[in-house]
Amino acid sequence: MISIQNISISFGNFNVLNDVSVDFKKGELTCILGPNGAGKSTLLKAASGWLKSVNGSISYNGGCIKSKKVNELSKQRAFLSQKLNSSTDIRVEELVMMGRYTYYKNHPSDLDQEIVNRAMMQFGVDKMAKRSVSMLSGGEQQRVHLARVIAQIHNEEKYSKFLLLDEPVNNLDIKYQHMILSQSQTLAFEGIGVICVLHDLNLAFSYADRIILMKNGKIELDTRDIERISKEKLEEIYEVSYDKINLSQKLELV
Amino acid sequence: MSKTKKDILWYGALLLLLLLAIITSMSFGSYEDLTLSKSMRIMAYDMGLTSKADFLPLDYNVFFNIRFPRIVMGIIVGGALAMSGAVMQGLFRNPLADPSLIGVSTGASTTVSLGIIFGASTWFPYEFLNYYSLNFMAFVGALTVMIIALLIAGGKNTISLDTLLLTGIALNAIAASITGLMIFMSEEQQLRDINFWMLGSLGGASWEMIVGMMPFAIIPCFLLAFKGSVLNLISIGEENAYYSGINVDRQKLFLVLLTTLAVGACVSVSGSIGFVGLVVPHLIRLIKGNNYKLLLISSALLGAILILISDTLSRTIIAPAELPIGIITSLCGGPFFIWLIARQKKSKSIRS
Repeated sequence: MISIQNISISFGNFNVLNDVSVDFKKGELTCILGPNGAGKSTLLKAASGWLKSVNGSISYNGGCIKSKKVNELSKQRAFLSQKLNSSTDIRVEELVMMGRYTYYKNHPSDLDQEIVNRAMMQFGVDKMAKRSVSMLSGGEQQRVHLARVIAQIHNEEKYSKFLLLDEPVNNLDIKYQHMILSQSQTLAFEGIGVICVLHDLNLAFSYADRIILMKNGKIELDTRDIERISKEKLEEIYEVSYDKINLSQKLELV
Repeated sequence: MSKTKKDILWYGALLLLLLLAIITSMSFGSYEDLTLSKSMRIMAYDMGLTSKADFLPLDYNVFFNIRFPRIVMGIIVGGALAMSGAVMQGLFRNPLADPSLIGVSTGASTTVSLGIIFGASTWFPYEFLNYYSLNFMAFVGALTVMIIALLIAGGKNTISLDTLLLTGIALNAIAASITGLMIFMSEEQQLRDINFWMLGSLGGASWEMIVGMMPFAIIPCFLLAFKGSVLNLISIGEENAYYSGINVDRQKLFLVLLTTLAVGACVSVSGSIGFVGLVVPHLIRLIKGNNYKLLLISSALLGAILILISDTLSRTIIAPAELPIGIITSLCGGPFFIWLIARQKKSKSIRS
C-alpha cells in the first residue's frame, strides 16, 4: 500500500497540493481525473519519491519513503513520465531492457530477456525491436516506454508493486488507448496497484475500479462507486456541461 | 552472429588498430636511426628473448626514455580524453559537450601561464618538484575550476546540470582572460612556453610523469567504464533514470568528479589537446549507435589510436622540429565535425 498523509507541496508561493491524504491499494486500478493544474501529476510524482520538498508523510508498504534507497524503491514502483526523451539513438529492445536495470546491473539474465520480450509483444513493439527509438513515431515511442515500465514492474517477488502512469494514452490511437487501460486492468487483477492520471473521462469510467477527482490541489471526490458520480459534480469540477447517456448498458459521457 | 560475438569482433578490431598505431608510433621520429626493426630488437633483448645487443646505447636510450613513455602517455591521454568526452555528452545529454566543458582545461592553462610568468620552476625546495612544477600547477588549476563549478552548481543535495553548463561558460571566459593577461605580460620565451602548453604536446613524456598522473587518469577511467547502463538511463532523462532505480544525484556528482579528475590529469601532462574528446565518441556513434555500454570503452580505444597517429604526425611532419599535437587534432577534427553535422542535418530531416 502507498499511504500518503497530509502532504502539501508548493512551487514558490503557489500551492500545488494542499493537505492531501490518500491511500493506494494493490490490485486496484485508480484513475486520477481533474482539470489542468489540479495537481494530478504532482500527486503522482510525490508518490513516486521524485519530489523532495514535500511536507507530510508518504510510506510504501509501511516503510517511510525517505528511508528507502532509490533502487529499492524502483523494485516497488515503476513510473511512466510525460517527459520522455526519445531522441536518443538506441534500439527498442535496449530501451525496454533498461526497465530491468534495477534487477541486473551488469548482465541481464535469461529471465530479464524473457520479460522484455513479453513486454514488447504486449505492446506490439516486438516487430521493431532492432530499430532505433529516435526513428519511431510519437505513439510508437510511447508504447516502447510503456513496455519498459511494464518490464520494470513485472511481478516476481512477494511485496506489492505499483505502476504509476502519467497520462499514458498521450499520442496513442484509440486502439492502443483501450489496450493500455485493459492491460492496466489485467495488471490490477494480478495484484499490482495501478494509478493512472487521465484526461479522457470515458476511458476512466469504463476501466477504473476507483476514481479520484482533483481540483486546485485538493481531492474533491474519491469513490469506488463510479456509477454514482453525478453529472453535477463533474460539471462543477470541469466547468463544462455534460450529458450522461447509456450506450448498451455502458456509461458514456459526451 | 550473436551479439556477444559481434562485440568481441568489434573490440578485437579496435585493439588490432591500436597495436598498428603503437607499431607505427615506434618506427617514426626525429631520431631516424631508430627504426621499427631496431625497436623490436631492443624489446626482444629486454625481454630476454635474445642476448645479442646489436644496437647502440643511444638507440636504447631514445627508445626507452623518449619514444616508449610517449606512446604509453599517448594511450592514457587519448583514452581518458575520449572516454571523458563520451561521459560528458551522455551526462549533459548534449552532443556538443566535451571533456573540458566546465572549464577544466582553460583553468589549467591559466595556472600554467601564471606559473610561467611568476617562475614556478623555482618555488619548490626540491629539484624534482621544480622540474614538474608546471604539471603540478596545471593539475591545481583544473581542480580549482572543478571545485568552484561544483560549489556554484551544487545545491543542498543535487547538482543542477544546466547551472553547471552556464557556470562552465563563465569560468572558461574568466580563465581565458587571465591567461590573456599573462600572455600580455609575458616576454618572448615565456610566450612561447605558454603557447606550447595551450596547443598541447606529448613531448614532455617521461616515466616519472606517467607514474604521477596514472592514478588520477586510470582509476577514474576504470570506474567510468562501468557506467554504461547508468548513462544509457540518464539519456532518457534524469527523472526517468531515477524511477528506474538510479540515485541520480549521487551518480551525477560521481561522473562529474571522475571525468574532471581524469581530464585534469591529462591536461597537466600534455596541455589541452582539442577535439579528441568531442569527436571520437561521435565517430563510434556513427558506427555502433548510442549505447553507452559499448561507447565508453570503444571511445577510449579509438581515442588512444587517434592520439598515437596524431602524435606520430606531429613528430615527423616538420622533423626535427615538432608541431604541437593540438594543431593536428583540431585541424583534422574540425572539418570532420562539420561533415558530421552536415550529414546529420541531411538524414534527420525529411524537409531538406
